[in-house]
Amino acid sequence: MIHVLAVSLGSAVVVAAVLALSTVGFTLRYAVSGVFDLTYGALMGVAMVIAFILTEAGVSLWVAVVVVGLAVAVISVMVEGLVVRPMSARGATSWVMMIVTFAVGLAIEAAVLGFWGPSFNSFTLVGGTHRLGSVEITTDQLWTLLIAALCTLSVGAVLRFTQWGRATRATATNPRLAENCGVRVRTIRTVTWFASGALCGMGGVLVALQVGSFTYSSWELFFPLIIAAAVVGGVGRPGGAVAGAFLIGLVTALASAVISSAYEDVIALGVLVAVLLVRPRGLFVRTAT
Amino acid sequence: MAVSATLVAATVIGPFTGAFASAKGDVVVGVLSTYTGANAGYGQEGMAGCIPAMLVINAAGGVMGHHVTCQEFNSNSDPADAVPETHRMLQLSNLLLTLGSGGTTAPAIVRLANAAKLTVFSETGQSLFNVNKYSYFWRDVPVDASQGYAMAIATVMLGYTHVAAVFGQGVSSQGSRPSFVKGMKLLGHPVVDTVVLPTSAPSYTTQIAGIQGHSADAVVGEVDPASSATFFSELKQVYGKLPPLVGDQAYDEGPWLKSVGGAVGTTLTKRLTLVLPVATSAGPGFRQWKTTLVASSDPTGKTYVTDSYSAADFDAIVMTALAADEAHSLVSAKYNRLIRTVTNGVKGAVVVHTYAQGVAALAKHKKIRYVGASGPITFNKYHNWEPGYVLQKLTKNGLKQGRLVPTSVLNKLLTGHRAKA
Repeated sequence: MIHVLAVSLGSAVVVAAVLALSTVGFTLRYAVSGVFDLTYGALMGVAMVIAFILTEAGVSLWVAVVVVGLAVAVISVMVEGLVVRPMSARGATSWVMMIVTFAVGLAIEAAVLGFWGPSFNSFTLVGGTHRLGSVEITTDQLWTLLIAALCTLSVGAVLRFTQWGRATRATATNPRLAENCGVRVRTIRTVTWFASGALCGMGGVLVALQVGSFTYSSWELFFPLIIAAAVVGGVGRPGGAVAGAFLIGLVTALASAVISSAYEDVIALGVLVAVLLVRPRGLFVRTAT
Repeated sequence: MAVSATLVAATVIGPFTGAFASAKGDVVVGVLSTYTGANAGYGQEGMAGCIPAMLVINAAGGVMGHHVTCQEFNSNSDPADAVPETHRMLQLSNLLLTLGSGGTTAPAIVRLANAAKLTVFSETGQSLFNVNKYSYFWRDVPVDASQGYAMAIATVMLGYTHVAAVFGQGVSSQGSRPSFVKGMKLLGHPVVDTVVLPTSAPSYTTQIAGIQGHSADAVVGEVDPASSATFFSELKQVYGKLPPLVGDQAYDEGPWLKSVGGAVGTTLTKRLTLVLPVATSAGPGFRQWKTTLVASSDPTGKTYVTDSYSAADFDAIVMTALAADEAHSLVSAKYNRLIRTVTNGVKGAVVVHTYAQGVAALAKHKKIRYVGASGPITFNKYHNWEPGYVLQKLTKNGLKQGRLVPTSVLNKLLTGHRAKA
């Protein structure tokens, strides 16, 4: 049992790290725009496809990760500029925005399917394995952990210690007040969508590395977990997203090792429900009394 | 780069329809399968059977002068999508047959197609159809239960006696799991671990650690392509190398091989043994299907050259076309019942391996027995096929046949008796 737990935990940490990176990007969008953006998953699928095309063309996956991040960042800014901002300006409610982004996500996914097809494909970053105690871990997983940790910590540092970060947090807290204080809210939103797009792109590549082989729709494996992690941590809270990702990832892995892996999804959603029963707005959002 | 089934079809149909312009109206094969989502490769698999069949039939003049075309209908592996899509397909007045209905969609599709008197070749192995009452239903792929027993015998023949049974949550996987587990018990080597993998989880290390804890010497089963990629790459990671694998028809499907091959590399072909229905993979029918497929598709299509489901789809269309030729009619009520005649053959029937040979023989008023890409098929009174099985290895040039699974042992297991492999 100890071996099973150790192996499960080792894997869960990697999955949780990928989840954390992706969830931070997802929750940043909500923080500054108030949009529960359902194009996010489809854009992870776009990232996988672009990364594969680049690696097939002989580009190093290291370079591809950066290019993919930039490409998805640009697409995200386009989604924000062409869909989200105009609709928000017309007074679309958050529910309407959610449905609209869901529809745009479907369109993006259909476009990827039409362009790339449904085939499975794969790529590796480095290859090779290492033994940590009784746990085998691949070099790709170690790099995945490192990339996810670096990106997530960088976002945290930028938000915490820079002028941009303060402006972003101000926009997330009260955009009108922030604007009155001289914050260029529109620019902050665009930059945030760009940054979260970059995280989304890198998250997509890391998901593809984790699952071994992927299709245009492999992002669907992770997206429910991303939403669950974001909601558990408190939507719009990057720190909460990281905590939510690790909570969901680790509890799911431990519970499936002890109870049964057949109930992984049930356990993940059970955690979500349990947390929301106690903290209806997420772990890291205070509820007014 | 891969292209979608639609594009494959368009690429192939485009140049050929002009060259084979039909004076009469075309007849349509409805490839009712999955073209979107995680199982989207199944649609391509169906087209890898349909496109070559269309080409060889049209090259031989069509079905009584009517050329064949392949048309996609997306069941999306979901009855909620399959039912309206089947109704849409049934709007066509020139359908020859439909194929592709799999595990989750077969019950709904078969009922509707049968009510519309449309010949339907199903890819489901469900026991639900073992005593089939639908006269328009045909199954030229094995029944899940017998497949499970055959895998058990093959596993013991290979010398693996401490095996882990690893199956997915799909209908087909769950259909063959009980018979495999029971078969191993009847053969005196109960499985050391039975794992049902949740579909498309981000990681399966918990299950793998369990398998490792039981010291399994081989992993046997049937899991969908997406889950398999993650599972087997992690299995290889944990074990240091991929342990011996034994699988059924699901593991020689193009999507599965592409998915898992991409995840674990070339070691897959060395470690994997397939337990497949006996087929004349070197026979003229198989060669015609394979060469036509390779010539008519981009590299994506070529990944299906070992795919027995694609071969079965090819045969289904040729069988039905020959039955229509024999009946001199495109009325399904007239040709459907003759499918068994042209496939099983009757006394004095001439064996034909291609559509052109069949048409030529029928023109001389001879009775025929079609032995195509899947080898000899004999339908029972329930329109099911009960094949023999053979161990096969994957090679660069396709499948390499090994030892036969003894029919006597298979029959003992099917009747619940103990046996030795």
